[in-house]
Amino acid sequence: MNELVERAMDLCLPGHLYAKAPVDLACWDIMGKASGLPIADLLGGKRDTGTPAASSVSSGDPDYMMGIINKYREQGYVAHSAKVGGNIEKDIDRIRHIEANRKPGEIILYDVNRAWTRREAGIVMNAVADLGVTFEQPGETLDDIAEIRKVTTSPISVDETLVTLQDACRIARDGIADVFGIKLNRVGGLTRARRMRDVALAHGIQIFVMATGGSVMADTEAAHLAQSVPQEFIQASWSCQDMLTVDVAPGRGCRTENGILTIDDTPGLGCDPDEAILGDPVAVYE
Amino acid sequence: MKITTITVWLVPLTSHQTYYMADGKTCETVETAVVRLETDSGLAGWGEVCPIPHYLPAYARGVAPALEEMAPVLLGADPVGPEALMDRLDHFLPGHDYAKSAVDTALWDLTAQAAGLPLYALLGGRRQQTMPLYHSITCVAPDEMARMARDAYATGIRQFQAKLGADADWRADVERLIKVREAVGDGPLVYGDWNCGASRLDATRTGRAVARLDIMLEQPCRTLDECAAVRAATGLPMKIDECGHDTASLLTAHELGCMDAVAIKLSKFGGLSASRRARDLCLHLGAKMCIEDTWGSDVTTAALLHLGVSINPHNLMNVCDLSGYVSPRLDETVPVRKDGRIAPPDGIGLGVAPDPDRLGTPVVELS
Repeated sequence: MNELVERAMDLCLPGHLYAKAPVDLACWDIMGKASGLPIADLLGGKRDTGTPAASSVSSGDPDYMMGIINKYREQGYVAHSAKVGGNIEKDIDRIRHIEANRKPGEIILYDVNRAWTRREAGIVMNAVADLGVTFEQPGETLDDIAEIRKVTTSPISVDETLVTLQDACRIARDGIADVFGIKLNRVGGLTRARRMRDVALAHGIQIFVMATGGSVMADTEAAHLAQSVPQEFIQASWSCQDMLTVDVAPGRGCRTENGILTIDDTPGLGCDPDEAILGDPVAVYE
Repeated sequence: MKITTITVWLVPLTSHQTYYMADGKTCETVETAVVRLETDSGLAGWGEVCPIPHYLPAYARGVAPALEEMAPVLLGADPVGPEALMDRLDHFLPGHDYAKSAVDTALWDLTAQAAGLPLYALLGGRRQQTMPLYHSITCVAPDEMARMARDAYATGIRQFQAKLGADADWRADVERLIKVREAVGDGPLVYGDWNCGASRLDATRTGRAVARLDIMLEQPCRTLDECAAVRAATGLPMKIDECGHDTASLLTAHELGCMDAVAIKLSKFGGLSASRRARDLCLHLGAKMCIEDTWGSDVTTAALLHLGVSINPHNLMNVCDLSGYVSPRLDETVPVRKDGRIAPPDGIGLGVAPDPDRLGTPVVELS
């Protein structure tokens, strides 16, 4: 019934995808519980292999950033999202330093978070073109990234400006990027993310799945989608739980083990929160 | 000058004629959000946004929570020079353009009052005394729509927007367009608006059935690609509304060749600042502009009239007298339609001062 709920919500109030996403997730949870299957199976089939969890490495001096990466390495992480996008000369230094210390098999995405102008993106990306590293959201708009694409050779991931299925189709058709960064809350939940996944698979585009932030419930939702993607198409899934001090579903949901996120066969999301930990609701509609 | 208090009212506006559009969208009584920004100088600026239910990513009761979220940036800020403060708001809370549009209007009102000038002077200057209006005809039976068109014609209106698609019957839409076209005779502008509610196929069938007539189509489908396909298949000029809402979408619509005209609704773009940028782009792209807003009363009508009158008459297609479609009026000194045309308000700033009795009790007061 997910798509009927989706349509009804869209007719009632266009947009507001972030508010619709948790409703969509609840529908998938119900459908999974009703059918006795984990959401990943309903999305097409849960893969046996887990998904690498990606760390989030805040920008700073090269050694500072390597220090953060090393801490995550101790927990088994093999995927890292390293934030760049400040001073372009320093960005070049950061990238060269981190790549010089990258271990075989490690996945490092350099996340610009829209910070560069077209000119700055061209300078940095061409300066490190020999390294073959992937840049996420190197410009403000899809138009910017399409132009950056023309003057650079490094692989590109689109994050903030991948919102609608139309964006996904444009990126795929025009060859604007090689990786989709799918944030579930931004795109409006699993129902819409699944369509983007299919566009990606049909065009040889890899996927990076992310919650925009949130508890283990958000991580678990992302992990269900990630585990419905063939392994060769999934880059990693960002996990927020290791950055948090509160666990709303102790003992349930996906957990990072040796840097890998896996989900079990619990029907639905498999991550019912502990209502005592959630506290008082701010609203109940009946 | 510093902003000291933000006040928000919700006022129900009732349409004189219930307004039906495709996909079940209806305007009978809807709430408008009126915003006042008070300052330590004693000046107060006014803004308004009235989202049509189910129409754009906007709802009237979302305005006050968005303003509460943005209050830390607004309170204490200097309102003179709206774009600097709007830029800070955009970084603080991305999106929520409709809620910001009311703030932006109030900032322009304050800036113009501080300058001692009518708002249109800050927007580039007054280009004509009065502007042409269009009349929007609700989607009902074809003969009834033709009657409404004749009535409006008799009052001097020469531009007619016929709403289509409410009964999801493309042949009825053909009849609507033919009858409205015949009712107003040769010369006046007639366009049929689906508000995204048609499939590409039905829009093409409708357009081809009326292709011998002088008719423009408006936003038949949900995407620009589909609208461009309808334009190509029917050969009829196209007005873009819902899909044109920022610089990138206007450029795309232009590249697709489907933007003969465009609706610049203040709240769709995020206020006068963003709409002014859209105006300048459309001057360059050669798209005729309809300056309006989703719905509303006198504050939003005043704002759109100031922007409209700053546009070269050659490029301005029409404006909309929103406050003429609803009651209550919030400020009866704001001009109304006369002989199918309308003038901007007189006076300094936005030139509008809503009647406190009609606003009622505020829903939020932040200071």
